[in-house]
Amino acid sequence: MAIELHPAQTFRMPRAFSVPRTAIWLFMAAASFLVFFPLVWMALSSFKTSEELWRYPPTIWPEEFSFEGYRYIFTQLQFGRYFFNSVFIAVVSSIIAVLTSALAGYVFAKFQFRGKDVLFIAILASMMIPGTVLLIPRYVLINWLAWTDTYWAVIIPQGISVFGIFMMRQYMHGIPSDYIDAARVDGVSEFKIFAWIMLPLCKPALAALAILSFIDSWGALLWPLVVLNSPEMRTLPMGVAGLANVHGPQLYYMLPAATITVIPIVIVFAIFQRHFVNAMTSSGLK
Amino acid sequence: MNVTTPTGRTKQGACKMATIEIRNVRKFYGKLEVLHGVSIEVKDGEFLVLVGPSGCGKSTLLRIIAGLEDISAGDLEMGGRIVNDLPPVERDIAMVFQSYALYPHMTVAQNMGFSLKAARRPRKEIDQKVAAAAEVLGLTSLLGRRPAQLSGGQRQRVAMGRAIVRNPAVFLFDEPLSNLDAQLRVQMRAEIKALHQRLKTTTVYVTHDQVEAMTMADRIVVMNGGKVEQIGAPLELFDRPANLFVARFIGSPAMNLFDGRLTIRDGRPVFEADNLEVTLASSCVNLGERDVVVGFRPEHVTLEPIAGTGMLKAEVVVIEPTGTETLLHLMAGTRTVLATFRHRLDLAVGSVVTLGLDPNRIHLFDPLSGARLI
Repeated sequence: MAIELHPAQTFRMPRAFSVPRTAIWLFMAAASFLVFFPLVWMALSSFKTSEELWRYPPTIWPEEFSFEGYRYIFTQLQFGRYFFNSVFIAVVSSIIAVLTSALAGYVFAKFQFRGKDVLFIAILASMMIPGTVLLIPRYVLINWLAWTDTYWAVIIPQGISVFGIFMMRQYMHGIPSDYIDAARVDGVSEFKIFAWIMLPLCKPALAALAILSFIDSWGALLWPLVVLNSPEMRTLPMGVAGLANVHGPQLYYMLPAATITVIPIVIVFAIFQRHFVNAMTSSGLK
Repeated sequence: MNVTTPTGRTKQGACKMATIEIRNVRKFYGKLEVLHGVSIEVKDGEFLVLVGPSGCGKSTLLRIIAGLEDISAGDLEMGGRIVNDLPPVERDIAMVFQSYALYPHMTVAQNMGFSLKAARRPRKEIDQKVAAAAEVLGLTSLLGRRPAQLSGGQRQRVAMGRAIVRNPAVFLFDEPLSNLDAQLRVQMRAEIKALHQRLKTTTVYVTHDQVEAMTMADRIVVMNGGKVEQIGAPLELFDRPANLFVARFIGSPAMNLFDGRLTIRDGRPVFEADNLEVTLASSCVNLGERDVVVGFRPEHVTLEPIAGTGMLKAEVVVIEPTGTETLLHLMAGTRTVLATFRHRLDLAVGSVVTLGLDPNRIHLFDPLSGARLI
């Protein structure tokens, strides 16, 4: 019996012979390996002895688990303090970034005022200026505020996020203004409309922005290097970078230090990645 | 229970009332004028419907009444006081939006009680009022649900409940039924009307559906292009449309319109057009010979010619039996004519029929201004 194919039907090859699908899986596996292997090797090697680290051929799984590197960086090199500084700065700057971006994004998305478009474009245009160009003027400003070598020198600049303003503005633009009108008719004050209505509706975007701000702040090196001088004010990236000397990187200490620097980021992203993807698609950002 | 309104009026019973007076209100968006000197008076306890095509300014006018849009010129008076610059909360109004605007992160109970929470009312009072409104609207079993877990009709009722708990002086509805299917729309129409009859609160209702307007309104305001075309009771608009726009807009199917010439023959006014000759009412003699537009409703056509009056020969093109009535699409020369009959017809497509027109049911309009002549 002849089979009449409807134009809408697609002819699928049996799964075993699906060449494109196999190629895609192979490519994904290779890419995942390339991305994850260095991290896995770093984490595993952080538990190796100094002798095993430099052995050739190199090993992947430690023959003998050693916590000496971790003990050294926490007791001799103040990495506990660095960890606290990084957590404090990242958390506080993320909170500030989320709140200020949400407030500014709300105003740009839902209010009309003279010069709004020009102001928004000017804010966006500032993203085109490379950060290194702004290093000196920012340092001068921080110095004038007497914030040098304080947490605020790092928190405030990292807490004001132009990308965050743009992202929240885009997301809030997609929230129907009827909610705001209904709240105004109900007699809710403008700030409570923002706090009780808009913020809960923006949870995915806020979560995504918090993740991005946290990651950005956690991994920052150049700016903290410029404004933080005292050893006790150092952040984790500063501490890790400081483990390199004229003889080269001190792997035995650098690997444990890098591992404790990376692990919190991996955990945060693993927990909040669902919100991250949701927010990116909802705000129209790819 | 006596209720004292913010305007100082005291009314026995559970309702609050207010008049609304819109005096020569104009609205500009930049240089674009969207409302051209609109003047409307809404009586205490009246159900007034603003109807018109999309973009006519009815929603803008409703938002101006609500205080969500500024007035560019003119005055808005509510309950005897000018409210031009008052925020929505001070106008004692409640609004039901087209999209319902239910907060998705709150339960039904929280949505309904939100305005009272914002007003810092005691928890007990909020719970009592929410429970009372929920009972009126059949929402008691749904108070713990979120809007996403509700059907369209249920969401509509929650939106109404949120308005009711505020016990406002004025209800504003902005096309609340446009997102519902036809059957639910009929049901909700009746519920809204019943609610109004029970609460007797002044209501301003916006819709683009003239059937909704006709069935629900005490009075209708027909708007077009930012202007008021006619204000009146539903049957008044149906029987005596003030101009061609109202004639076309009110009534479904729309009125048949023929442009032609009014002549006087032997002292009798006669309308002549292609395939159509109608003797008009004797009062038309006063108009003299002139170009006119004649209108007649599909429901006012007979299949038997009425002797000494109007006759129209036409060919049946389409027959639409709906069960309760039959709608005929006919061609009279090059013109399409619609006729509605409340019974089944033994006609075939292609049949040529002679339609009768009652001169007392014929409307005359000026072809240039569109204004009603008789």
